[in-house]
Amino acid sequence: MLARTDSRARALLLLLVAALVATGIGTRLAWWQIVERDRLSAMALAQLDQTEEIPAERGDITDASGELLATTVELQSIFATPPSVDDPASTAALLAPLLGWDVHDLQDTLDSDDPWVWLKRRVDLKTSDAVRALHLPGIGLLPETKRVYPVEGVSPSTTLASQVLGFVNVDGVGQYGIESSENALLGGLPGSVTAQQDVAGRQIADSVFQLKAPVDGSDLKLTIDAGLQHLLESAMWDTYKRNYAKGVTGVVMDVNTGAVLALATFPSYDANDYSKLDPSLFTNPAVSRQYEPGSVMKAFTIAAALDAGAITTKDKFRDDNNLRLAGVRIQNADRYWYPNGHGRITAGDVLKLSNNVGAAKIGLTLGGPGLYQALRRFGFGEPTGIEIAGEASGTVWNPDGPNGSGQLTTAQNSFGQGLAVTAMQLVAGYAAIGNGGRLVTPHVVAGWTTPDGTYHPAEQPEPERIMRQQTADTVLRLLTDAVDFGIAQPASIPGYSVAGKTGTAQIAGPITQRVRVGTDHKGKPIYKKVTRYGYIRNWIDSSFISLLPASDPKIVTLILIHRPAVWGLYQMAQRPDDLFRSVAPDILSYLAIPPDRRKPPDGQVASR
Amino acid sequence: MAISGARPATGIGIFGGRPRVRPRQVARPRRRSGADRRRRQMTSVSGILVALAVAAGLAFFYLSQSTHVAAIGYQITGLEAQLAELRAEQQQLILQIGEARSPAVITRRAKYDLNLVELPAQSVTFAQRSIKQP
Repeated sequence: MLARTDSRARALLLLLVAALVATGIGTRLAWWQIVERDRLSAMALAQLDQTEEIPAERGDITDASGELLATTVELQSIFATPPSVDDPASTAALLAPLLGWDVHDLQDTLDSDDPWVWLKRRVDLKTSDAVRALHLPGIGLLPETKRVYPVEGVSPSTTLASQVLGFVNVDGVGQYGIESSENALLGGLPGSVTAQQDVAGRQIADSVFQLKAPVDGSDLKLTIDAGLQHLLESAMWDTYKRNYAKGVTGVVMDVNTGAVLALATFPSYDANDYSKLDPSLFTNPAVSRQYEPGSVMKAFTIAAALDAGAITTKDKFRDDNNLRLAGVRIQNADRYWYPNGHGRITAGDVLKLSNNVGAAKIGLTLGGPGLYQALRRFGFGEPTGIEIAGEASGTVWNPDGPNGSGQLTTAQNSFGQGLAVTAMQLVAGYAAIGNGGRLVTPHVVAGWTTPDGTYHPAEQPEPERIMRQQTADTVLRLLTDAVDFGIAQPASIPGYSVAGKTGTAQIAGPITQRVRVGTDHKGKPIYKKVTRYGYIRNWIDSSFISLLPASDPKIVTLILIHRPAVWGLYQMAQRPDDLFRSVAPDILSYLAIPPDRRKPPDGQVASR
Repeated sequence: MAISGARPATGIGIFGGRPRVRPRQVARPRRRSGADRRRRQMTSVSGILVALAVAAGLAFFYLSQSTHVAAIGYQITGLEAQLAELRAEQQQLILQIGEARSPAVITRRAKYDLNLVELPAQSVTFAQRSIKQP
């Protein structure tokens, strides 16, 4: 039995223990609350705080009249959390036909140990509604944005002007075309929000303490007219099929401003479904493909010589269909009909006949450096500056440079062989002839509207004068004569004066040939395969470029057919000048450009 | 040893006990009556009670406001979700309009649904200007 003194001692002991425990707890609390306060507070807030990116809304792209060419829509993406799927077999059976999966593959996916998996991203509204209506456990939908191109193209499975527009990849970054070159303007700047979230992951409304608002992208307005684009695409698609061509390019541009009104290229693609296509389809051949232009360059040779005062329109040059330079014989395309040439011809005759020897002699009269510098002034050898991504610069050789061959290079430059240009460079150069001698910058962006609704017209560089007005007018008259009375007569249109030039050039590439290298001991010849670089038989680029109407040019058009199926002496199912004759009246009518001729010019023989 | 003329206090003033009596040597014009003392006590008690009531009221008001703000926040989130859905629907409608306005679609409908034929470009007549413009 304990005595009273024992009870006191025990109480004292308990008190002591309790005091120690209380002191320990108090000390620990003080440690957490005072010493470790900042660190622990930060840890707690970090668990609650979530920072989310707020994506900026990508701007729309419209044509010159406001028709929608590209926009962004919200679509649903379908995912699965396999551990939560109750019955993978029946779920797969229900979902597979909706999502285009194989039933067994989908069942395997739903049976897997993956915690989370995408089933199909950015499905259409009908599919997402159907999946949502099934209420399947473990299957969910998440909203995602998708860039869409609503305007249907002319050919099957294409969208209008797809190689002008480009597309946007799954990460929302513009690829190719305008989408790529104007990505910063269209894409805007994403923002972010840092806020506390409840257990369900919802933002606690009054907890938002850091908000960086996104800056939405601007809406882009193009110079392209959807109606004219459709018209040109229809014509180009038709000739693409008829000629079994490797590719076709058609351009319509305002000669005074450089605004591209239509740019049609084939083969094309569907910008809404680009993932399984050959990437070579994505570049725009009008700006990225370099080719030897052929006779269309003769107009620049004559313009350069006239502007420098090296020749006049009355000067005559002897064409004997036989010009030898550096061991190379230069002949005319009509050598089979005129083996001895056309005799003494003027600069105008050079364009009418598309005469190589005459053009070479004009170029040689001007001189290699003079012609080279003039071609550079016309914009050849450097990008035009158009906003479409992937523009090539082309190549013009300096006759006196390290890659030049003196007079031979000058002669080749004169009639468009041995150099490389892009279709857009040609169009810009001819626009200068049509507008009185100013080199405009081709462009497809008319302006943009910022999210606050302010419209900013795109500013273009001041056109540079590259030849005298008188020179441009003279060359324009010679080009008009070339259509009225020359070999380009099939391009003449009733009611309108047309200035234009045809161009046909062979395409160079590697050629493999069997070459006899000797004989064996029995006297039989030994052959060896040799690959050399040269012009490939029946591979040509055929084009027609025009200024309309020639009396006061408003537009420049280019029709280029790349590697058509040819027979005989470059016979084709439909020549570019034939196509021009059929499509140009529609273009002129669409643009409300009235006729400028009441009757055909005197001396013109009805072409067809 | 007791201090002459003074007595020790027996409790806290407001909860009863006798009030301290000032030393006799301090001259006072008049001694307070019992009614005065009770009035002072009542005033002190009611003041504290009012303060407590105000504090409780403020606390309740703060709590109700916080709850209300949180509820409004969830409502806003719900409305934002509804707005997003409507915007998505609007986008779909804009897309459908864009598709329907495609020149290719219009051409197809004109040709095959309405049996219209293309007008030859040559048949277009441009009206002459009646007044010469500068």
